[in-house]
Amino acid sequence: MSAASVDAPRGHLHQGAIYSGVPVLAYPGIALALRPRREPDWSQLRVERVTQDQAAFAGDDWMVAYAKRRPVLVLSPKRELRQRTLRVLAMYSYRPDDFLGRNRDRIESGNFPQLLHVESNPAIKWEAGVISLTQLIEVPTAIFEGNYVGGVMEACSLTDASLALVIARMRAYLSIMDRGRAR
Amino acid sequence: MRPEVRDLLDSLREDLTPSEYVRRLVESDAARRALESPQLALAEIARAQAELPSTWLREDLPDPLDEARQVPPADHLVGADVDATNINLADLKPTTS
Repeated sequence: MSAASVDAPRGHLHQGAIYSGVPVLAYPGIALALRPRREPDWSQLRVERVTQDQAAFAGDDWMVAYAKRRPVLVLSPKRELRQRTLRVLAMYSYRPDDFLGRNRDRIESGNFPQLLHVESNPAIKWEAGVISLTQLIEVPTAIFEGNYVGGVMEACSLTDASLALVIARMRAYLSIMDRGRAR
Repeated sequence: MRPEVRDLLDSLREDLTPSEYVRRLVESDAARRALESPQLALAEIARAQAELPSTWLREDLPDPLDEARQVPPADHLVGADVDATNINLADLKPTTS
C-alpha cells in the first residue's frame, strides 16, 4: 500500500483527522523582528531586519513570519488532544504547474520517501493531495476548536489503515539516516 | 491506581482482548529493551534500511516541496511601522521564559 485514503469527517478532534484552512507558518527569506521604535515605549513598533543581531529573539522579540493556509493531518495521540498544543503534518495539493503536479505519478508510486499520496474521495468532495512526512508542526489546539482563526474545518478523516501507514512511513523515512559514516 | 493512570491503561486496552493486550505489552517491552543497547539499535536500523526501496536511498533526488514552500520576498517589510497604541502591552510580552 503506497497511498492513503480518507473517509467522512467524524465531527470531533482525533488522531487521523484532516483539517483544511490551517495557517502553516514559514520563515521569511530574511530574519525580521517587531520591536519598539524607542525602548521602552511599546506603543510604536517597527519591523527590523536582525540578520546581524546576535541578541535577536533572546528576549521579548516578536518575529514577523509568513503563513499560508493548508490542510493538515492531526498526528497527536489521544493524550495530546487534551493539551493546549498538538502536532500535525502539513499537506499539499497537486497543481498542474508545480513539481508535485508534474511528478504526481512518481509520488503515487511511492518514489519520494518524504511524501505520501492521499487518494481523492468524490463522495465527500475530497481532492487528492500529499502528506509531507517531514513537516511535523506544533500548533495550538485552539485552531481546531474555532477559537483562533475562522475558516478552519475538519474536511475528512484518514482510515485506520492509512493512519497506520503514515506512522510506518515516518518510521521508514527516519531509517534513511546518516550517522556520519564515510561514503 | 490513580485515575489518570487507569484512563491511560484503558485507552491502551481499547478494542483488545486481555491476551492481545498482554502480548502487546510483552512485545513492546522486548523492543524497548532491545533498543537500550546501541549496537542492537543500530542493527535494527540497518535491518530497516535494507528493506527500503532502492529509490529512497538515492541522494540526488530534488526536494519535491521546494516550489510549494516558496515564501514571497520580505525585504519591503523592513522599516514598516506598527501603531500599537491600543494593544495591551502585557499581551505583547511573554509570561514565561
